[in-house]
Amino acid sequence: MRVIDDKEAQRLVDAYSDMVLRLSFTYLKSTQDAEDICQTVFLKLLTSGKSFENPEHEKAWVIRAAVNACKDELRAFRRKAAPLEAAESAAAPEPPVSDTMDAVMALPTKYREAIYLFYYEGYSVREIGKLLHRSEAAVSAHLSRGRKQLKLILGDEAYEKQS
Amino acid sequence: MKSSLKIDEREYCSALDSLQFSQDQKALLTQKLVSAGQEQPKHTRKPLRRTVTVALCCVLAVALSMTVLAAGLPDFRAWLFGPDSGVADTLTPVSAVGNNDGLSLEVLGATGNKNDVCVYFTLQDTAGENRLGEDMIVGASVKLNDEYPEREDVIEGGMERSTEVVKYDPETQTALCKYQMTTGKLWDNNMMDFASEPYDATGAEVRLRVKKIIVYTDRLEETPIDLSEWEETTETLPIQFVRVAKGVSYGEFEQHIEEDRVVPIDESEHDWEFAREYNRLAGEKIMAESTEEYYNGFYDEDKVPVVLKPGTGSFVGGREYAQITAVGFIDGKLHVQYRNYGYFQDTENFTFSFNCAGIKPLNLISFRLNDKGAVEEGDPQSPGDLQSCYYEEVVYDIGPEDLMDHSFFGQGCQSIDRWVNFMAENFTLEENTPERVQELLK
Repeated sequence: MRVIDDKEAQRLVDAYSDMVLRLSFTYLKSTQDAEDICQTVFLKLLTSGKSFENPEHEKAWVIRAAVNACKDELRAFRRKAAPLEAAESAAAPEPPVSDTMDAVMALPTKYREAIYLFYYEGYSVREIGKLLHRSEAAVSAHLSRGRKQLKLILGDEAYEKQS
Repeated sequence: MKSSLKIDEREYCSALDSLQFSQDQKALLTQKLVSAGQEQPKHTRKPLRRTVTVALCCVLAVALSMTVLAAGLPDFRAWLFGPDSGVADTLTPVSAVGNNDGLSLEVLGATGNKNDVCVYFTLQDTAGENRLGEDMIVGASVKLNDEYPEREDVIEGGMERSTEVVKYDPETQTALCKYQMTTGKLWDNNMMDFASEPYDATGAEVRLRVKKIIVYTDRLEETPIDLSEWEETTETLPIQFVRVAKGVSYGEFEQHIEEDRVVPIDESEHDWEFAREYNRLAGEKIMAESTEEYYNGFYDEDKVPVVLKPGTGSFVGGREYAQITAVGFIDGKLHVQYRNYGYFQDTENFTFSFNCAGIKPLNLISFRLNDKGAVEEGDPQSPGDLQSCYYEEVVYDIGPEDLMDHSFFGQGCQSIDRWVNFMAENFTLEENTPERVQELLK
């Protein structure tokens, strides 16, 4: 049995839990489900014996594992009732409140994931393509269509204040 | 005023910033991980073959480092500031270096004005391990005056940037690269808005960092595939299980599922894996909105989805990573299946895609055959998962009678990620004149 080092678990939680929470929320629209993804991803990492060449490498691995876990979650049966272990858990983080955020969350998944990775994590179109196993053209199209849909949702005024 | 198609990224990022775990939640998450780890199965030991390979690689690396490239840098500096580069008049000579793990970085020249920054630098594999190449992607970033961009990795406020390989010398394993950035608007915390003008890079102190290098080791260019010559696969396998659903008894599961249609494959003590069919029979009420969206069109028919039974198939272009394993028709629609050799192989990547000219696929199914030979739908989640056989099956609205009317092709590549992290000494974007350039080059 591989014993998990609590200091290593603490380091991972401190370094990546908020990022995985945000990324997973972007996919799943639920902070409770996003919290579950955090556990899944970190447990996989902690028990894999995986070593990384540098923090950027580790971060990319965590993102890719989280994306795949979210996709599987989306395909899967989702119980609406809280799981038993939730009774002893602290409440899940509160979802953010923002018009722009609400508009982004109303977009299809593929647009949301591209927007999150591009605008929040700062990955290039090429890097996003690699992370999501998509062509650069597809990622660019998702970003472009996502922006256009946001324009429709938020209205011109929200855009003109930036131009 | 013309509107730009940009989202209010600052508000979006601020909203996401507010989504975070409290310290108590983080402590509980850590505690759960440590507890859960005690229930995990033992990690599979890596095969000896891999250990031997790694050892041999280490020996080879040492041997290569003994013959560290004696040759000096190619004269990229002379070319850059000569008549052929076309940028000599605009560039200021710079001499800033950085080293890490047998790779060296040297900034040769830079230019910067109100909105644009351009930096020419060389990367050399001084250990002679052939970790660089002409056909590579360099992940670089620049920070100006230690303040712009606020987050080095984030593109915001209209910023644009790119890095390209201009020249490569295989003999000395040295690449000349060009980093280009158009600055965006800096966020003003007092105004709670972006500045009215893009960040002015004139005279800025520059920090150049290289984080990642992706080298392509093989490319399978667009290769025509004649499907009419393939032996049609007629056997299919049901897609059965998706994931573990906690807290639901098998009895409850059975109430919804006819046993002859779906069979459980994992009988672990606490969890049951459930069929995709369960999702559908359970009804839309318990399917999350995003799930419906994701599977739009997948549950059209009242039956368990199936995939073609994987066969041996053959390799496109002789590449092992381009293996088509089955071609056939299900419900009158063309299915083409190929091995997924691992976009999740961490540092070594294989990519293969199958396409039909002018036709978009109806669906793309990712699945694996588990050790009991059953089909589990889903993507690999870790490098270890790829010890199983993963496949992708693409579906087109093309019937057998229409097959000859379409042209198909495959393409792919093999690449290696080099994770590095080093930066050059800081330098300043100075104004220059042709006379000053010549003076500096002396």
